[in-house]
Amino acid sequence: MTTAPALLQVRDLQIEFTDRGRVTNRPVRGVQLEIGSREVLGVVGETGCGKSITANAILGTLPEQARATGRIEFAGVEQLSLPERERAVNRGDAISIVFQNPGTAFNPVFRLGNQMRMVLRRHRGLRGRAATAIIAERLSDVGLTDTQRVMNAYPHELSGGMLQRVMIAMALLCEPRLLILDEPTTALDVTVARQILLLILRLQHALGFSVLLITHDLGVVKATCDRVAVLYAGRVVETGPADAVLKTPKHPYTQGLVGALPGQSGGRLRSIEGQVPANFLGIQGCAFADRCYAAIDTCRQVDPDLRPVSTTHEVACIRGGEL
Amino acid sequence: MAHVLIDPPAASPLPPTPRHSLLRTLLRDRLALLGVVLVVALVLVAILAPWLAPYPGEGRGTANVDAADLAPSAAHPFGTDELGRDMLSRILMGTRPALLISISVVAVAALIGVPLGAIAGYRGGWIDEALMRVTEVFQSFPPLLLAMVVVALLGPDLKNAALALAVSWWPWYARLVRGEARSLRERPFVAAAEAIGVPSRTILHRHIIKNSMTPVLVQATVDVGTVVLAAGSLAFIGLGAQPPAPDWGLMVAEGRSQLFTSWWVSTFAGLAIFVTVLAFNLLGDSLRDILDPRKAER
Amino acid sequence: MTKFIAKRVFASAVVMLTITVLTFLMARVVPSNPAVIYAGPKASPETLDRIQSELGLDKPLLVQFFDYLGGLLHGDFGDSLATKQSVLPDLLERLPATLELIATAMTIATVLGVALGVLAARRRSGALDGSIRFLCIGGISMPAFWLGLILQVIFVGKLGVLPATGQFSTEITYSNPLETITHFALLDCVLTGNWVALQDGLEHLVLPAVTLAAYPLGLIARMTRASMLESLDQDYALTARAYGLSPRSIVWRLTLKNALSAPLTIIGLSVAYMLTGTFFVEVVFNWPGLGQYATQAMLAVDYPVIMAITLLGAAGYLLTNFAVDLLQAKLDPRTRS
Repeated sequence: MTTAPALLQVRDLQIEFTDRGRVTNRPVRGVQLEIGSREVLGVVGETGCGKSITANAILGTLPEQARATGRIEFAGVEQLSLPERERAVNRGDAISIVFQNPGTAFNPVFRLGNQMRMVLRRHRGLRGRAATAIIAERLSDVGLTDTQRVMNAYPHELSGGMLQRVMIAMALLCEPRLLILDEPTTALDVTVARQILLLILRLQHALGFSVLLITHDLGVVKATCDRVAVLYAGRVVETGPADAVLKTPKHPYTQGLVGALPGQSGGRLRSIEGQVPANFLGIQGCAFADRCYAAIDTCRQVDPDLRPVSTTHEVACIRGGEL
Repeated sequence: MAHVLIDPPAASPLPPTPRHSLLRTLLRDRLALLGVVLVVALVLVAILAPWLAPYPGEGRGTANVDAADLAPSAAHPFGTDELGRDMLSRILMGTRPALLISISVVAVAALIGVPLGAIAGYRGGWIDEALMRVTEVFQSFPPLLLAMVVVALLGPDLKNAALALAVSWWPWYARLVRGEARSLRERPFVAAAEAIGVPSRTILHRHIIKNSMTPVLVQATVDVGTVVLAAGSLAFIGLGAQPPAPDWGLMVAEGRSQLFTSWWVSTFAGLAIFVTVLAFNLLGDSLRDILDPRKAER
Repeated sequence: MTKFIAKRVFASAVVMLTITVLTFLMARVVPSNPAVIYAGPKASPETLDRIQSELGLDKPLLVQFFDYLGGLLHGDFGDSLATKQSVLPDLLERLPATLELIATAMTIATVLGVALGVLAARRRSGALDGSIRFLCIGGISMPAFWLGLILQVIFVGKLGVLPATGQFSTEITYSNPLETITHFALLDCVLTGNWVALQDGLEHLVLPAVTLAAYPLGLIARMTRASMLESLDQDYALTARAYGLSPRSIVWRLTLKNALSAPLTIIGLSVAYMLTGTFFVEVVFNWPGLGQYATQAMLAVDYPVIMAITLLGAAGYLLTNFAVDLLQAKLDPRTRS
């Protein structure tokens, strides 16, 4: 683990959805995360595990009916207690995000150049030529050569892969310290997805920002991440260096995920039986117990916290050491 | 090669059955509830007017000049008009003709428009083309203008006004159902019916028309109100019901000459139109929210 | 784009021709004899015959139609049966007053409607949202002719702060007579610096304009609200938020442009509504415009005027829809290709 103070520290993050004062769901139930500077952290898990909403909490873009508690420290400053105005100052500046679907993430009725201009104007007060110069530079950084044409284009005029490059360029406009990638390649073709991943890695090396990569694809994690955190039902169940977690997964859920990777378990694909509960309110004990091959009676009573299995590798399973 | 995506299909809870939520939504939304209550009240008044009205004879038009131009009082809650007729009775007695005319106009318009639209949308081809061109011409008239012209040329009375309104109203239903029919035509159950040789008349009736009834019902509900307004407007400028009929639009016009002395005549008659239109608009809106969640206004 | 415009112009021409045929036929099946209307009820049979041939009513229907069509192409709508004068000059003389009324009402309805709609969407489900929703549905349900009368009772009868009817007070024609330049009365007041008349004219305009605006205001506000809510729910609204843009600029600068395309069709519909809505408002406020002229013609079965009004109304409607489509293409780049 990095010895320098972490760039982002998430401690015991809880998120509740309320409807007229009544709690209707608790999609995040005590998430711990840490990202050092220049580090790439992968956050994996099935759909509905609370990955995206955690990213929203870090950015401060939770929906109105959601309430977050716990601590989110970015560059040493606690974020959750900050007023909305001060959080907005960071968004698109020190913390930036790339969304899953570039086709809908851009506003269809504005030219791409103008959408990027609004970001520069908001955070840097730049307009006109100065803004155009920065935008053109970022666009060529992400491999788009005909920058003038891209700036004048409307979103529907570009392909998904090109749009995702523009999205990345927009995210990097203000030289963020943390870049959140929310399933950045899921909506793209396989070959295009590969190119985009390579691009992100190259830019990360060159510019030195940290990355929080949300994905449900362990293959992507293997190819890109320094460390990984596995989320299940709103909790981190395993975290550690990407190699260690993928090679010797300790949590039965991680084992299931790894087993489902092609090329594992003798060429046969395995899947995990059952699915993530739709609502996490009524969960007792370990949320995975119902789907777990190794569950014992205690699992349904105690919800285990993360415990180290080595200096860098932690797992939240009462049988974590033995499996 | 792609990595296996481990996402299981998200389990989506089944939407509540429409019948169940119909009543609940109507009761929860205060505006919707107001619409239901008003419509029920209007229908009751339409049926019971002769017994509810304090002076049913005056309501039908009998003059009583000794009591002319009386301001609202306990004896005449809405006052009396120039000819001494009790305005409350006039308005109550006006409910039945207003609703009857309006419902007939909407029914005729739907009876013409729905089958035509269904055939055009389902069959396509030249039938569709022809119908679309015809409706386009009808819809190139600003609302009510066609009806006004027809009444003016046929001679102003209530029957002609109703006829004129029906003539200018049916294309909206044809267009509405045609759109539905075109999308229904592509649905698997229609293809299946065709494949097993169900005659197209049966398909039209059983699958196309029945399945497009929801938007028609919503539209018809709103239109009952709109036609009351349209008929009232025609009557107001003299192109509809003629004296001494207890017609709301006509009453507003009759009260105009003494607007500043006997304000109540026009005011209460117009209020009746307003409340009726409002009632059907509220009801239609909430029906749309419930039956057609795609277009719900939230 | 040119192809799109050419196609639309052609389609509109076809529709206009069909409408001409239709109105012509309707006018010819009219049960009342136009010659009787022209000559008055006491005319002798000989006079009627003479008038019949004068009006060309004894010629075959097809010949009559082509005569009429030929006249239309020269801007000749025939002569009014009631005033015995050519229709077109009469129409043109009354058109500016109506246009002034419609333009004012449309401005009120659009500005207020969009503002209220956005406001309601931002305060979704709150008390303000509820009140605005009720106001909208009330505006839509309100008979214009009745609203006009109610406003007269309140502002003229009870409060006495505004004039009841007409476009100008009679005294103005003596004390500060209008000079005619553009035929648009208020514009002429400004151009000639006739401020007294301008104030008088505006006072006369308020009530009819508000009356005419009520229905479209409700429609526009409702549509803006619904479409604003929809676009605030889209991914791009979240992107804007995720890039630190303030709620205000997200609503007014970004999503409003997306949301406007739906209300725009409603604005087209509203103008269409006003084309006939103004008939009733002009009757109520004795406004010297087309609407009053048209209403009188309809009651008198003055069919050349009725036909002219019908054609004008349809042309106005087609033109409005055309303008709306062009504007929509301007707002949303996706519809252009």
